[in-house]
Order: sequence, then structure tokens, then C-alpha cells
Amino acid sequence: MDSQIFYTKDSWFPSDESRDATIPVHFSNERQGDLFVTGINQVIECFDRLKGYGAQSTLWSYLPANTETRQDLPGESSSLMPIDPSEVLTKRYLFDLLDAWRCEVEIYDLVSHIGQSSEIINATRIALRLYQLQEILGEESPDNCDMSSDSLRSFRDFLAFHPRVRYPDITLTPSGNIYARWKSDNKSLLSIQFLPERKVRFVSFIPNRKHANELNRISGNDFVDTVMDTLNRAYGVHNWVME
Amino acid sequence: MKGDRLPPSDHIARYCGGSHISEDGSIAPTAFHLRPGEEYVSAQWLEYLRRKDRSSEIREVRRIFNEKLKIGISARIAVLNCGQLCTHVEQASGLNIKVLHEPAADDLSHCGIHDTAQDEDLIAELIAEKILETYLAVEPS
Repeated sequence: MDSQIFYTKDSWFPSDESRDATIPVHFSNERQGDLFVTGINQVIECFDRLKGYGAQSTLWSYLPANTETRQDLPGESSSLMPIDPSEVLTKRYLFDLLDAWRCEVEIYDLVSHIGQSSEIINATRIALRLYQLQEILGEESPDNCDMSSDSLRSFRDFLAFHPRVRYPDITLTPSGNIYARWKSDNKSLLSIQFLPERKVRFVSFIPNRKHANELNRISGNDFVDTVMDTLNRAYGVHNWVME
Repeated sequence: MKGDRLPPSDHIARYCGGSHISEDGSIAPTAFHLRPGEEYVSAQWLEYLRRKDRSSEIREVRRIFNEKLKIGISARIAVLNCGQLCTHVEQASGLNIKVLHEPAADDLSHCGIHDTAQDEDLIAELIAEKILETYLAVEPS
């Protein structure tokens, strides 16, 4: 499903900038589109207070199925984004809006998607923990959106491949990546850091079969759909990571 | 002095933000991962503070952290022994890390755990195994 953001700029923008610009935004479902429009509306309300910087521009959002929403501020025909005339920021500003949307809304949308899964056996608990972590980040670093949506997407895909995985200990790396950990009673450990593009880094501690009280410690890289098979073939991790 | 290795008998305190704390209150290995742009894992050298006991050291460390960071209620302070953590990492992985004095103008007790990037996830797991004590990062009321 595609949507388009269409906006026009006033003539004081540099002449090498196109007067009109269209930025395609792809949503995976209608709800994402609704969330995006909601987010843009919130930004409009926020910057309504800054009206009067000077420049005029209009943000249009075209939704599929003949749905068309025009985002105009009340009382003015085409004021939307207040821009300091000394700075040409419109295009970057729009990308900032998209980034802000991705940061705040997409995270919650992805977590909600996990939580609503009927196949992932610990879906609700996992989603609650992710919401909690996002709240903690908001308290400790309110200016940053630190949970990585790319990592979260990889984690969601991992859970889709392995819906019966036991509930892990979930924390975040300083980069905002999801870090899931499983420990067993015999000191076995599996930790997986979820990276963008379905990649993972893992660490595993496994009791040595022949040398009592000794652990084999390994680390490596893999993918969300193969990491468990890799480790299970070598170390039988399914026995204590899966329900 | 800057670059000096901390004595193996001495201790360091690492600030661990709430997103690095497990649900059971324990400190996750992610607390020992490098933040973007960092060259070493920051910590405070406790013996450098020259306080009479651990409680006083932790009070001072809380004050230092409070000046630099927004402290959440779930954040913790992890105390480790320099010698133990370096020895454990070397014996368990064959990798060498070191704890060096990294004083700053406004933070003379600042130090850093160096060379964790060799195999960060593995080394962080091993460091986390050597946490001796944990404290709330917020001063208890």
C-alpha cells in the first residue's frame, strides 16, 4: 500500500530546488497510514504555535482508495511548516517528520504487532516488557528515541520463526538493539543481539560434555531464521530455550 | 595519571541505565557495551576517591553520575574488581582487556575498560559475571 506526501514550497526557496516535491511513503497496512496521518496532524498542532516565521508550505497526504486528506492549518490557506527564511530546511524538515514518526509511532506499532500475535506463546509478556523498556528510555533520555526499530523488526521476525521460544530476559544495548537472553539451570546461556536486516550476533555458554564444571564459550553472527538451527545442531539449545 | 593501569586490587563503579537492567533487578551484560562513539567502557575508580568506606564511595559516585546523567529510578551502579574482571575475561576467552585511568577536568576518578570491542558481546557477558555489588543509582530516601 502506498501513500504520497505532496508539498509545495514558496518562491523564496533556492532556485535549484524544485517547487513541488513528492515523497512516496510506503505503509504495510492501512492502520500504519492512519497512524502516520495522526502523527503529522500532531506535528501540525505543535508547530501551529510557531506560525509567523514567514514561509508558506502545504502538506498534502494522499491515501489510497480515493481517500484524500489535506492538512491545512485553520485560518490560513496554506501555512504548515514554519521555516526561518535564512535556512532552507523544508526537505530535511519533512524527513525529520518522517523520522520522528518512525521513531515514536513505528516502535509502538511493531510492539503491538508482537503483542497481538496468537502464535507467539509469550507474546503479551514480551510486548509489555518492550513497552516498559521504551518508557524507561523516555524517562532517562527523553530527547532520544533509542530503541532501534530495525532491531525490533528483526526480533519480531525471529519470534515469528520461533513462536514457542521461552520468555527471555530482554534488555537494550546502548545502540537501542534488542538483547534477549536465556539461561538454564546447568549454567547454559544463550544471548542474541538483534541487528538490522534480520542479522543477529549471539553468545552461548554450554557445559563441556567431557570436562565437568567447564564451559564452552562461543560467539558468532547469524540470521534470525537460522541461528537457532545452527546452535541446536551444535549444542542442543532447543532443550532449554524452547517451551 | 591518564593511561595508567588501575591496580588489580582496586575497584570500579559502572553506571547502568534502566534499559540495561533485567526484570529481576540484576545487571545485564548490555550495561558493559560501548555507547556509540565510545572507545572504552566508562567507569569510576573508587579507591581514587579516598573515602572511608564503600558507602561513602557510592555516595560520591552517585553525585558524579547525577551531574552528568539523567538518573532513572531503575538504574543501578555495578562494582567490580579490576584484577578479577581482567583475569576472568582472559581465562574464559583468551582476550585481554585493561582498565586505565582516564581523568577528565571535571571528573578525576574517571576510568575506562579498554579493548572490549574485540568481541563485545562475549566480553560483556564475562564482565557481567564478575559484578561484586550492585547499588541503586538514585540515592535511597
